[in-house]
Amino acid sequence: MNILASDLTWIILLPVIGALVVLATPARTARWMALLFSAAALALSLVIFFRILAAGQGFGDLTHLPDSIHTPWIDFNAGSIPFKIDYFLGVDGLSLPLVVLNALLSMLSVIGGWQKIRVKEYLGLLLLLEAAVMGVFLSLDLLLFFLFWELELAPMFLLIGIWGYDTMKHGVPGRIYSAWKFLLYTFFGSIFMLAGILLLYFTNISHHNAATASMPYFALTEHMFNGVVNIPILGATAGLQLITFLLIYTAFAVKIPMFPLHTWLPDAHTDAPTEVSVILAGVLLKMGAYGLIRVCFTLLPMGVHDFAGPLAVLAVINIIYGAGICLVQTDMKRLIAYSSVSHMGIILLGVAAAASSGSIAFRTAALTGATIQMFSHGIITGLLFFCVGVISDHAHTRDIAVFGGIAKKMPLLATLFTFAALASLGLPGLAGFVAEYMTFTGSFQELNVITTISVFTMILTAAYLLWMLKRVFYDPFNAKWNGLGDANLRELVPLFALAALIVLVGIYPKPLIDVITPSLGQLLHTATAMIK
Amino acid sequence: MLNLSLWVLLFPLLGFLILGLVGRMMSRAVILTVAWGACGLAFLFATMSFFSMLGTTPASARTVDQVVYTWVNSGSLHITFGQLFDPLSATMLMVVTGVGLLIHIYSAGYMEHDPGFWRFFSFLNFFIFAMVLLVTADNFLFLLVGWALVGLASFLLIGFWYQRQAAVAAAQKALVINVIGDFGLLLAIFLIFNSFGSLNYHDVFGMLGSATAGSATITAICLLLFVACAAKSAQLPLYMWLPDAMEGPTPVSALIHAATMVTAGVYLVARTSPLFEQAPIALNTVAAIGGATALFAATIALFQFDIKRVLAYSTISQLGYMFMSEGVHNYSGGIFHLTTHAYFKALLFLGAGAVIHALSDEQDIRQMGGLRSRLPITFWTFLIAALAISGIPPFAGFWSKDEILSSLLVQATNTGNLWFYILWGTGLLTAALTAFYMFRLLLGIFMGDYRGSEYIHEAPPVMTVPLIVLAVLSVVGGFVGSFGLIGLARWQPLANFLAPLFATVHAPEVSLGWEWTSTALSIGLAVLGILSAWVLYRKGFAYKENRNPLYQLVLHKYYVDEALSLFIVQPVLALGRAATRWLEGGVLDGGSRNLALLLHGTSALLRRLQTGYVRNYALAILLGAVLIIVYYAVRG
Repeated sequence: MNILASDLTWIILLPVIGALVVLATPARTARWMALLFSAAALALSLVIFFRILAAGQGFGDLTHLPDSIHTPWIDFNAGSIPFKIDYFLGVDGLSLPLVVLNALLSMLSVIGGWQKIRVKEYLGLLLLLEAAVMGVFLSLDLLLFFLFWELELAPMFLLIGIWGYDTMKHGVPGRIYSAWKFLLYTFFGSIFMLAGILLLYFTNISHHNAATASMPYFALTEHMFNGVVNIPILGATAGLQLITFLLIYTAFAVKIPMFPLHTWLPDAHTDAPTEVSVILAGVLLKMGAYGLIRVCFTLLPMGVHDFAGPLAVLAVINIIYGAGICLVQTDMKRLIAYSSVSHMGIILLGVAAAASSGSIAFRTAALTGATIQMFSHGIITGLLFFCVGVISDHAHTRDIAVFGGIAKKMPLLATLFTFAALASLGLPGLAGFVAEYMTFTGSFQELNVITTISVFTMILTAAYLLWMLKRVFYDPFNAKWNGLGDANLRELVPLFALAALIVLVGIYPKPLIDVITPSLGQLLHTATAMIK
Repeated sequence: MLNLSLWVLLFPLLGFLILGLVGRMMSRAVILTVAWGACGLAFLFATMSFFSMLGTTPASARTVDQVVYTWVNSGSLHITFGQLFDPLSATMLMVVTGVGLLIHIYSAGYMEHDPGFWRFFSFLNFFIFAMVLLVTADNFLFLLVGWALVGLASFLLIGFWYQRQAAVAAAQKALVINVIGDFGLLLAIFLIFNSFGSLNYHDVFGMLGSATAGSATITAICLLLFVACAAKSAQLPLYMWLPDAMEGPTPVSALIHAATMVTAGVYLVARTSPLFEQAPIALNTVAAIGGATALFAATIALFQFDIKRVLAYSTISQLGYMFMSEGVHNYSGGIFHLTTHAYFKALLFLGAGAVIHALSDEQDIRQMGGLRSRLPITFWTFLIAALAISGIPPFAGFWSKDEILSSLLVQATNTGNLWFYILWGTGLLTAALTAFYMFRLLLGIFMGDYRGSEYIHEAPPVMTVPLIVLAVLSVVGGFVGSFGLIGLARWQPLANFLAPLFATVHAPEVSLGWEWTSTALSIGLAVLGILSAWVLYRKGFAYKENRNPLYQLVLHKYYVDEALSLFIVQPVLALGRAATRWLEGGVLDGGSRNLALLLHGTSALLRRLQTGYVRNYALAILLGAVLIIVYYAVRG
């Protein structure tokens, strides 16, 4: 099979080619090239989306992928041990929204980063980052997944380390400190993931021996084909699944990030340039949540099930603790970073509820809610970070205390920022509410106490976001900011695009849910069979 | 039956979108055309639908549930957006769009010189849209959407003058407390969905039966619903945002914080009456909180100096009456008082606005006085409203308040329960206090000599016409109530109109004798209150420093705001700071940094061993050998 014939390959290749073109052309055209290639990737992802939609067969699941490419890549035997990695890409209702989200935020980030210094390298790395993240969302082979997972670190490390802020932290410039912190934390998790993957691999082999030596163990779907759940370790004790889950999940927990592994995030956000923050919060964190559902839930449902209780507790800590920390932040970006910790906790809660033993209908709702939360948190937090970026670019500070009444000078930005904050606090009618409502509805049945405590976050979120808005945009005008200008047209493009999407998903979420639910339904169905 | 409720919803939304997107570039006349047009068409369509409903018989044909689109369909979750058009929502629509239109008109005068003219009207239109959504939603989820959106409108309009610190703080407080209410409503919705598997009113109420009566789940649902009502309708202990909300422009106070939005809680209890009827504990809570709030807020209103704050506390107190009524199964009485209150309280606020406008933003009654001759229209309409709220016949407030008080007494005599007698007594006492503080305010503003220094002018017609219309309504608005008192037992159009909604309610039998007792007492107490105010403030308002601790306590609103800050806000913030410093910075971040330092230190230490000199390694080998020999030698 020719891998270049698959449009999924091109979703990854387009940004890569774009990056090379950007680096090769002079700065004046490079920007337009970056925009062109990121727009092409977005267009392609939308083409795939609408083609599947038009086919009318639904968005499928791992057993019926609406679009995929599967071909052997590495295949040899060392003695009796087979080594086999497939080039296996595919989309279904779980991954496709995230692919579109990544393409969209990347394109908006290119627009946002138009005026950066060393713009060619900056945009080139953003495109490489986009490609790596696409790979994570598209891979259905575990090692390929791992490969892309690690690949994403390099551009991210450079983007924070070179273009970040210089505020000193612990004796080094913040950008250096935070880039390393990001790298070390993620690597720390990756080690466990690799160990988990190897454990899965060798357990698999020892259970199958030579008879199934040709089986591509790492391709997620292989275990699910024919409706037969033949993960070999299923025959083993549940403890083994739990251990494997915990190993693999450690990497995802760092990425999400889950308490107490989250402290890299506020630093990375405060020191990263705006567009990198947007991508980090909008897409990179979702890689963890996506991995939790795609890899853990699919391969190790028993492990997730055994860990559901602690996961729910950790989720509520994320939600409440993150919001509590937000209440006393003085830096806008740090505040939004912690709000991400809080909001990502809702995804954990949804997964925990989905892995519990309640009725399948409620668990489907919880997992669908968690998946929508990935999407809506991506667009809402993206909008918040773009807004902070505009302020930061215009005023050269993000310290909440030094502002006051600047809505007078930036009425449009104030409106959009207020809008984003309202979306973030879960105002009904906007995207955040749909996700939170579905997650909480689904989780309430099994986890009523934990859900009740979690819902309490609404009040804290309202308090800290409004407090920030009040101090920055409202209150008596601080004459110091007399020279401040409103967001310009280029800055407004990403803001309005995301705002429109937030409203759309909020008032008419059905299309998005129709994409997601069937895929998750199948996943949950199989998982439930395995849990029993 | 003609049902145009979708259009009633869409016109204000359209107005909001137009004004919000391009209002900035419009002239005032165009802005007014859009805003008045949107609200006016909504009122027109609501009126047409309302009268079409009146002409429809039998009463069962007056309920239409119109599904607009499917919102979510996932797993067991199937939620549609639909509009329920029935007598209750029709009544609410009339009040919301009618009073809303009058206040849209009035605002043109009041906000004439404000640079945010277009923004103000776009927010007003948005509010009408949200409120219509709230009262016409056919399920709990879209009720919540409307519920939160009116809260948002309230937030935006309280903080309309966003450069005033007090206004912004008040807006924030209002939204946070409203979100506490949303929290209650959301939990109630989860419980409802868990118990009934649906969120549609019709489905949920249809599943109620003897099996569910008095169950803990229903009680919990109702109590959670009431948390939402208490937050939205400013009942104890969630009332403190409403007085602060007076920082917003006065028309906003009249529309949102007196006539419509704050009555959403009363609407919700009436709407979910089938649930509340099955939860006596919750219903008693509603009555008790309503009674306590009515009295509590009335006492604070006694000594306030800010004209709008007096009215705010008065609103809280009157909302307490409505909940008392609903708490003793008299839901239509609650809705009745809601409508009459909308007329006279909107009138009081608009009158206060005319005074404030005339005095160039002065709100302290110590700086007023003697305005009777200078603002005649304002004075006479204000007087009518004051008589109405004090419960003097035949003004609107008399009929509705009297119905509430007599149903409290009937409940007390029927059950023989002392608490209901106390509740009735509370209602009577509050009536006396209401008459007193209202006439203190009236006399303070309009009698005696003018104490301020501002130039005074009567409001323009665009402001006085709504005052006159509302004054007429404050006189005749009560005539839709029950005339059983004067021997016309069959004349109770509003109660009959709403009756199909409360079919499951076991309304207590009314005895004419008790009703007269209650009525006579309430009129007597109201007159007493007015006379006391007359004696004290007839010559105008003279402020004397009063050091009486009880007076100080009431004057400072029982120090509730201070206590709240001290016992809730500050501790939470301190906790957040401590967590940030110790847990986040110290343990977690410090831990990972220390781990890095430890690794770094260890490797630095170990590196020192790797000197690269052969003699060092030889020495180490020698030492090792010696140690082994010594070990075996000692061991023997």
